[in-house]
Amino acid sequence: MSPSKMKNYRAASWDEPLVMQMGSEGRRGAILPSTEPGIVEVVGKGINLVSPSMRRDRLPILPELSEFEVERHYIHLSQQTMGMMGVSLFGTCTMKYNPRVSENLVYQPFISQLHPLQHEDTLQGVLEIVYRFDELLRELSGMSKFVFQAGGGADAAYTQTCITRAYHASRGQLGQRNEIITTAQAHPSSPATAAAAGFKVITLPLEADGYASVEALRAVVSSRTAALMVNNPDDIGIYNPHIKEWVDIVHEAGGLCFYDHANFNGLMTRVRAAELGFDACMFMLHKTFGGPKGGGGPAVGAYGCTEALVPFLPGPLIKKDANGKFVLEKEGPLSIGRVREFWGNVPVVIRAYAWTRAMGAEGLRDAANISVLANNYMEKRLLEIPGVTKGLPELTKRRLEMTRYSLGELTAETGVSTLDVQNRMTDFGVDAYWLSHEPWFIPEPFTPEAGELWSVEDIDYWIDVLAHVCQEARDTPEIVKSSPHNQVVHKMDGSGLNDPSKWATTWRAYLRKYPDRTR
Amino acid sequence: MTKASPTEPIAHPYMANSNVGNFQHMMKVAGVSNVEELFEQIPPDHITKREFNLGPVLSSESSLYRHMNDILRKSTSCEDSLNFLGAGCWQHYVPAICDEMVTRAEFLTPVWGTPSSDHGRSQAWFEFASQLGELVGMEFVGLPVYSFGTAGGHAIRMAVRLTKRFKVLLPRSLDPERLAVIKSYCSLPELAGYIEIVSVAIEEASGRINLEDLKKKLGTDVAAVYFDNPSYLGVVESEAKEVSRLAHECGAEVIVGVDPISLGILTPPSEYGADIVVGTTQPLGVHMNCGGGVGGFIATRDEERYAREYPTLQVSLASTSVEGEMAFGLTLFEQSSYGSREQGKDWTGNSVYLWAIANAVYMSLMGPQGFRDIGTSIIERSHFAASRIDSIPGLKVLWAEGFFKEFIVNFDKSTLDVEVINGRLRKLGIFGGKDLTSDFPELGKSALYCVTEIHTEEDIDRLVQALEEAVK
Amino acid sequence: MGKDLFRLGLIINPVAGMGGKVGLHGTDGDLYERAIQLGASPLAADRAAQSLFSLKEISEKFVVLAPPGAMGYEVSKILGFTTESIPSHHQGRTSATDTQEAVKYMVLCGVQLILFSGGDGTARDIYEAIGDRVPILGIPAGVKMRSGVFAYSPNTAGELVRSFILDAKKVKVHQVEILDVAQEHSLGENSNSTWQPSRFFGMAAAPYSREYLQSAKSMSSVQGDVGIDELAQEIAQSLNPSRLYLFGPGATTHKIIQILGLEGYVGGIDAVFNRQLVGKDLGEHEILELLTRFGEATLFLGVIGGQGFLLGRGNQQLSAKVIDLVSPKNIVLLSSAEKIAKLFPVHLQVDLGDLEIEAQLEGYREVLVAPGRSTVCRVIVPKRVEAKEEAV
Repeated sequence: MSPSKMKNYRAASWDEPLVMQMGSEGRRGAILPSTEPGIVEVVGKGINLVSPSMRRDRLPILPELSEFEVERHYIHLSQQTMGMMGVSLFGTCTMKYNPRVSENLVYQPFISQLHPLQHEDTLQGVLEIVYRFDELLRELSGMSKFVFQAGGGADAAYTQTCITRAYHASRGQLGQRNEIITTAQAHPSSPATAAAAGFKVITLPLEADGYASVEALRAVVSSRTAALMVNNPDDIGIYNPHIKEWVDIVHEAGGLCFYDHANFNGLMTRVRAAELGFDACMFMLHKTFGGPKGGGGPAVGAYGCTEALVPFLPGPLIKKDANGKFVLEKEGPLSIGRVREFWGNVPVVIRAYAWTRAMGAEGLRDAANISVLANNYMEKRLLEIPGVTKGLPELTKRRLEMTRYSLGELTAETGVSTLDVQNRMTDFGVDAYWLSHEPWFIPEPFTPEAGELWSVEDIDYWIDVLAHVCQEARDTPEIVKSSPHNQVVHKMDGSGLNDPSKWATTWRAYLRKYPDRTR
Repeated sequence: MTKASPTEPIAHPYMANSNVGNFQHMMKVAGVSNVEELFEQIPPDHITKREFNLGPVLSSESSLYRHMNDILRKSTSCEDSLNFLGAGCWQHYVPAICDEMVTRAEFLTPVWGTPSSDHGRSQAWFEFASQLGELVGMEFVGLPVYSFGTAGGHAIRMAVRLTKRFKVLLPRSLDPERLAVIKSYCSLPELAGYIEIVSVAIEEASGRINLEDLKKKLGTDVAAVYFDNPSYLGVVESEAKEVSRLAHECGAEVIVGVDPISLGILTPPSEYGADIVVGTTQPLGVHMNCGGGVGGFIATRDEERYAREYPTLQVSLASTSVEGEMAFGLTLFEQSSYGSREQGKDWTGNSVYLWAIANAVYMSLMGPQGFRDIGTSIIERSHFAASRIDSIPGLKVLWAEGFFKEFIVNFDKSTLDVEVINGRLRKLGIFGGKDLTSDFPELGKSALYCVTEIHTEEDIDRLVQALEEAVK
Repeated sequence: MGKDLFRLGLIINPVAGMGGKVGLHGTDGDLYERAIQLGASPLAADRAAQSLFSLKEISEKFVVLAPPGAMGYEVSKILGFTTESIPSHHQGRTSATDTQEAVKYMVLCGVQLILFSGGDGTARDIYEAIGDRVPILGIPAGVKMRSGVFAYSPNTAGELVRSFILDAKKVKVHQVEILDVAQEHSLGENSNSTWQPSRFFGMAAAPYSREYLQSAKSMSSVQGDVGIDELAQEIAQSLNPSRLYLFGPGATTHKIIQILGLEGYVGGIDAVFNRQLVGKDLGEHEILELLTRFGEATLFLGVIGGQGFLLGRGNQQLSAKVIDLVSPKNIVLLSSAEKIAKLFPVHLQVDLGDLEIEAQLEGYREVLVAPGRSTVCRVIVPKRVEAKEEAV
């Protein structure tokens, strides 16, 4: 395989000022419809309708720009964002194509201009799609009902902790069952939401075979166990083969079992959460099911559960009545209420439904096969790069859709860290890779996930860029350490980011702290 | 389409390596002879035997579009009908450039990136925080959270951590939907860290917080007093300063929830004693999206005490290796759940960061005068509508003064329930106000009407006529 | 002697580790005399022998270079290895200078690896003499072993040397930290010494294998660990006034003592009864006395840094006898989440020299990391070379 030619890439850099630094007094970007004389006649001047104590006396200091200037500014900012428009093999997030047809659909009034409190008679179209998607996820997981209220995967984990509370409270056992068990390889949101919900958190450590041991689980399970929250495979591509036994152990003790299906891509059409015995699971529609990520949402953590937990679901529930009409059913007395207002990021659900239908069952299986194959293809090539080692190399079974690697040897040899390499790769049009969740137990980690979207050419280019940068680390380490050089801006100096006298999350704070840098 | 072999994929537009050539190439390089080898980690008894039925595959875009369109068209939108529903999700005009930006692939599709390569997006986020900070009068603003209610929940938890007290006071007028969210953030009495929610009465005459009841319930065990301004029931809390003073006297934090679209004409909460400001971001350039447009924010003074309790991520200005160049990095990442797992502050994850870009665009378009104008336009139109409705025989507007864009129409004198009246309005192409009858029985048969800058004099006339007809 | 033979340097610090059991913190400086007075016995030689034993079957493949007598030659000869003695002025007890002269000479003689038995002090002495010119590997036999050169156990050190001899290319050599506590003196209850964080002396070269090498004692990177501070608060407030509490060495357990407003010794064993200090920097005998006097007790034990040792390193005062009297069920383990996260796998070793007690400690045990937060660790007993007696 001859290595790809390194692209002579240059990021767009407009040297774009902050919007707060632009414009001129009195310029307008938007004009409001003027109030009709008939209205003014009745109510008088608007400001007089505000009680004097509540009248804003000084206008907010906002930019004053023409409409085009605003458009051009944000176009420039978008051009100064590489995102996934290069090659992005960002592990754990399953970078997928976000079909444009869905954008066209969700920006039509029949989605964008719907109010969630409209009468269900006027919402039949959207209710039907959401209901049908619930059916598809039930088919894929074996669960009995899905809800889409959670605004992301972490919020779905929170939903689980709320349901865990409500479930044990309904049985009068919550006071006693106040422990949630998770693992060091679970996504941080599992322990974090458990703690926020008021539970004690027991984290089982990773062991030599790549997951926590059954014995460790047995050692902590007790009549205090409220729930188990785990992912499988974890984000290093290792599948815990004892997971059924885990579920049995926790069930025997009276706890609930939640399956964080964030890493579902390699398992699609092979593993069903309910068949493994889980009480509930979560899918990320903005990852596995083709919804766009938006740089961090709007997202959906679709939460599904078995019949026994349905009464605890947040409301309202979308159901189909005997006449085939879709109804919004108010939640019952056992429901956890709400984890977020209304019934979810509906446009993301619409996109996920469209994506799933476009793929079909065979397409999902193909996607799983391709993504796991592509990961193994990458592994073969990546391990040929000197300085790249595989996390937990003694585990030789083929990883699923992700593998964690280490640049520890390269760092020891050259002083170039994984963060330096990440930065330098962006100089060739390659988006940042995923490192690892905290804590890092593999030194200088990186975790690529090829998925089913990216072509062999893209994957090869990604690998060749990494190899090139590793070679640079030996030949000209300074170039890597001081990178990026072809990006919008140079290497950030993050030294002041945690210093209260230096950080500035708003322009007004910046102006106060750095008075010498005037606008 | 049928497959040549059961394991080879069918070429699909979403999957570059679904052609046979690439697939086989990868198999060869990876040394795999049978696809099932790839799944050797999964015990055979974990693998389902199910024949999946996901419906006919719609890999042709035109078939998919047709299928989706046929179904989605069955709904009636707020453009097809005249809408007066608000109650936590509001119909405002969304400038075209807001939609243009949030559908640009660079903003729509990315994940994390680096400060250098996704500089533009980070800058847009910083501009979101900076402009919102100007509106609410605060210097420290986090990246958005899921919603108004979750922002309130987090703010209450911040206050509890700051004061180490476990009781919060919330007015009776709180949105029941938002209250349900907040409740889920306050745990249950059986568990450690449970936060007790105590409801403060509102004045019958004005709908504002009852100061006497507030005084009675305040004490040194109260972590925070939370109130919305304007309230869910539309009322502007004109005694907000006194509420803050009373709360501060007891050492409680003051949390105020706002609708930032009101802040061109209403006093920013920082000026009447708010310590933590939360609110919605949806009115700022985001469609209602059937509730999928909601978003929230948290803002405080730029004091370390507060900053160290944020559950969110936030971007800060920073320098680069080149003199004079600006970059944006995450500040206080370690205290997030990404940085510290269960020892972090609450938790964070995907939120509504794309909407932050729509919000930034919206605020830039509006500018100072735009916010003054839209606030003025809304308050004039809503008062006009209220006054017209109040003049309909048998209808009454409760608290006809001192509201912003929402107000309560009472139908007690009608024999009909709100539900029936709304059904009649629907037939006339109008979505009537949110029925409050079961959530606020003390207000009788009432509905919460929302009027914004999109409603013309003609629209209001139409509503009035329809109401007259509906209550007959 | 063929030139092809692998040349292994061996050096034993015969007094290393002797301070531990008698409550001294290392035998550097004049502490040695004190240790002998208090009844310590040499263990570095024992450990070296244990380690070298597994090399017997490949003894034709290497030659040992060692200083005379107790500094290495004796042990190597007893095991029947081809051994070259290197010149030394060493008389009676060993000094840092002896060690340094010996290793410099070994480097001149072309050794490919230096195996030493000792603690941080010995590692530091070697490093200061030869830097990273030759890889070094430590057999854990000291009280303080914070440097990254130490193998998990004598046995694993032997296995690592064996792989190195058989195919040096297969074993990676990497840079590790040499850390030591620069401690001038510490003499029990009269001591004014305060705990000093490990000082960094430099980077040495060490053969590396994930399972065989102790990771260098982790140094907290973030701004303190709030969780463990809060846990210390919670524990301090919940102490039963009529129960004896023992606190193992380390910053984690010491926090509780500080919160109680007591002046304990962070590097030693302290005892608290009714919120008062009833013993500070205790030796084994003193602890046993206290246990006899007060009856039931709880022992708070911190996880000592990246070493992954629960008992038997840096807290030898907590002997098998002490643990037996306290009872394993009354041991509460504490660690910052960060510290424990750096251990992989989270196996905490016990090395008490008493199989029965060790067996009681074996298995999964809860480790508290913050109020309401815990993890578990597996307590394991390192495999011992059965033929130990026969070897020495």
